[in-house]
Amino acid sequence: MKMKMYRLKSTLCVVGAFLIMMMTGCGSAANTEAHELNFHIGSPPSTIDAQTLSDTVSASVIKFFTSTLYEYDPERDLVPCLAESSEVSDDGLTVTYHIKDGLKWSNGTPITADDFVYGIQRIADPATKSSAVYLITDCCMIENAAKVSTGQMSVSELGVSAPDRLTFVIKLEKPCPYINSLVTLCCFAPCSREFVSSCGSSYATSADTVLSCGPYILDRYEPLPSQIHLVKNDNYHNQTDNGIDGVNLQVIGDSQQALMCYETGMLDIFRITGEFADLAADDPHLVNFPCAQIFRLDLNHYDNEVLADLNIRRAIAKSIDRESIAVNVIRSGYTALERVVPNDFYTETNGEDFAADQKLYAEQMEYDADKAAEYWAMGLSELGVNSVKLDFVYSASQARIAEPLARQLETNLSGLELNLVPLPDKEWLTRMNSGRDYDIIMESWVPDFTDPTALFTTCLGSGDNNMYAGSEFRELYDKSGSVSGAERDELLHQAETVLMDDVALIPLFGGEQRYVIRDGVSGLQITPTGVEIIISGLKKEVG
Amino acid sequence: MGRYLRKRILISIAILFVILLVLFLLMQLMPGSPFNDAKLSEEQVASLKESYGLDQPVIVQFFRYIGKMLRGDLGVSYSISPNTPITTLIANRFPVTLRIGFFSLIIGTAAGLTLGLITAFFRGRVMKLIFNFFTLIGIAVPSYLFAIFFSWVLGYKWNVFPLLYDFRSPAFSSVMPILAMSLSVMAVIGQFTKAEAEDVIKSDYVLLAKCSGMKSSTIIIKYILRNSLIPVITVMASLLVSLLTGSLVIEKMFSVPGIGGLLTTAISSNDYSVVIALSFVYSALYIVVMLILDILYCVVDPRVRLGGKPS
Repeated sequence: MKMKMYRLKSTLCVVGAFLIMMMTGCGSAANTEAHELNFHIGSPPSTIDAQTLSDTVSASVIKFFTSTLYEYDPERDLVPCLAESSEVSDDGLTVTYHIKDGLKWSNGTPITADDFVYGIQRIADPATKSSAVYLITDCCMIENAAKVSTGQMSVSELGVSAPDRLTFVIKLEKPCPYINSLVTLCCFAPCSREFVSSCGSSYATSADTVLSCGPYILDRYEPLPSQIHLVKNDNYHNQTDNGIDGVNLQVIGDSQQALMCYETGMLDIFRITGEFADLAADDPHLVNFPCAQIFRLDLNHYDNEVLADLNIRRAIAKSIDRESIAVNVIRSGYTALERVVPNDFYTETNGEDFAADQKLYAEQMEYDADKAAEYWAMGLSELGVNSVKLDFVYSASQARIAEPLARQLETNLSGLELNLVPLPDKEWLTRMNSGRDYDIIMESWVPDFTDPTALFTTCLGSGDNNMYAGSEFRELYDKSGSVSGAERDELLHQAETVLMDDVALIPLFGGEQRYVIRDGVSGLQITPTGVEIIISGLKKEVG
Repeated sequence: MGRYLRKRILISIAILFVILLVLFLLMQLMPGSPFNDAKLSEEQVASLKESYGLDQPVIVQFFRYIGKMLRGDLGVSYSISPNTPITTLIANRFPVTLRIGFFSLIIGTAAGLTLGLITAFFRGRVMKLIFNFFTLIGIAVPSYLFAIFFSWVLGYKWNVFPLLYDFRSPAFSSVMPILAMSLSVMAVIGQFTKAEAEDVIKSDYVLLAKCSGMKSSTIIIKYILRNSLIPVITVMASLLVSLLTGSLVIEKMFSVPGIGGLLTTAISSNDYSVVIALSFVYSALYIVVMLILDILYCVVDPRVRLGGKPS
């Protein structure tokens, strides 16, 4: 009998322990704190090391705990943040930033100009293996960056210096009129030399091995996380009472699950994509942010004699009914784009939107099946052929856009046969980078900074993935680097006109980012590029 | 026994070696590279390949890898979490997958054993019908459909359990993934238990126990359950390994930071080092569990002869 009682008790203990373990933390299923912002991200960030990042998800996460010299405010205007002011030398080759006094890292140590120097040196240092190095070698050509990044010079010879505690100087090989837009990117954030050396190889691998100079501090992080938690940074220079004491970044790969989380109150902000965006089309909480994530066709003018013919290129450009594909096939998240630069992307010196008139190049790009057929017939007769077979390469994940597009081309251009080549993302990127291993490729492109040249760089004819090298365009592009203001804007317009006249590439669609935002939460904005979110205006009111 | 063990261990090592070699060759055949970032220049890609040793011939890479592995170093991630040691990635995730997998097995097995034994013992038509209905659903329906069902009913409609894994309440937020994964375990164990228990019930000693007026519960626990357990243990071992390797879809759906999600992310990003390390860990896990099982057979049932020699 005693033995039986002992067994019974043991069994009850085991079951009890199990239940206690299962129920630990039992309370509300939603388990959200009132003053916490619950923010959805679709995939985990690959890194929290600001100087090495290359993806937009990592940038969105890092943005919460870093600040940069300049930043976009909630109205998308470029304003100084950690910088007090900046000045550019007459030749445009020296940019000086005056850092705000009294700035502190989250551990209380002061932020100095040397931290900005070290940040950029880390990007250039081959030992860091940074994917962001193109920003200092190509986007803005910092003195000696190309040689330092390939190990031919030491990092101390890079064109960045700190003449005093609050002055940071960048020396450039070529003028860079958009440098203030470029330094808004997280990788240009300061980086503490002492802290990095104290962490060694474990730097930026956990919450304890990063410092914050932004509004929040990382509180919980592990590599490839499913959840990231941040708390308010008391040492941040621009403290605001926004009702958000902590941020919970929740990685949810499954959109359906994310939608249910939003509806049950577990998420305050949900980035909605795919077919779910259609479902939420009439939701009053849905907010669309136009961004420069664009789709376009790149044509292999060089190795394919058919595509070298201007009339053939004109015919392809004019046979695409972008509006119909955007409205009837893709249905949400994209709008027709008939020029290289999308609207709401770059503001000219006179305050006008550079690409406000999306019909400016209607003659070259607007859908006109009859005109397309006419060009096509002219092109075929110039080539002396009746039919043409071309490889059309695209990412398999973009098949819903590429396939109707291909059908439309074949329907409108008699004698055209497209060999559809859908590829896994990685293989598609390899093809795109290889430059010539396709006839037509559908590209998706996100510029890094808000300047039309960010969208022109692939047309420079230098490097492997640049297919177009018109000398007139090159000349205008180069000239635009050495002038500023209205004169520069005019040159950029001329450069775009050359690209469109020559059908160097065929713009297709411009993107939008869609978020569903809960009542009481306001102030979310994204940068015009769509690369990063703007969090300075975020507020949460607890009802 | 000792000779048999030595032989089995040597064969296991040889199998693991072959698996590793095949994995290396397959990774070489995969399209793309871990450094597919459009923004990397050719020089940078070459420099990255050199720093990770990927510019060396496959065979050199292979033996270097084995050398490091013997020192407990599985390498670092190339692209999904650059330069993070794979042992760190696995160490962070394995406890979560282990906990969810273990509890799914315990709950599924307990439910399966109970259902199987009761159905076999009472032999009612209705009972059998209900049992077949539930176990067939458990086997035929993929666990992610259960996950969707539980999410909808328990998470969304009734708001009883959280829809996502939450580090602030890991146990409570694991309930739905555990439930979703335990149903198929319950069905498989239930079917095996019922089949085995039906044979045991027909045996003379159970008939004798019944005739002697013993209580049904005593007969079930003392005679039927014990004698039905051996085949059930065999199934449990393989179920445990498949649960430990993580349910890819369930982990994604509930945002569970487990190793299943790590593998899918690594495959889609061509992160060779992570894919190879995880595949190797999975293979090693299977081989070790099967080896332990063989040894257990010998211990549990002395009639089992190992190594072809009489014990």
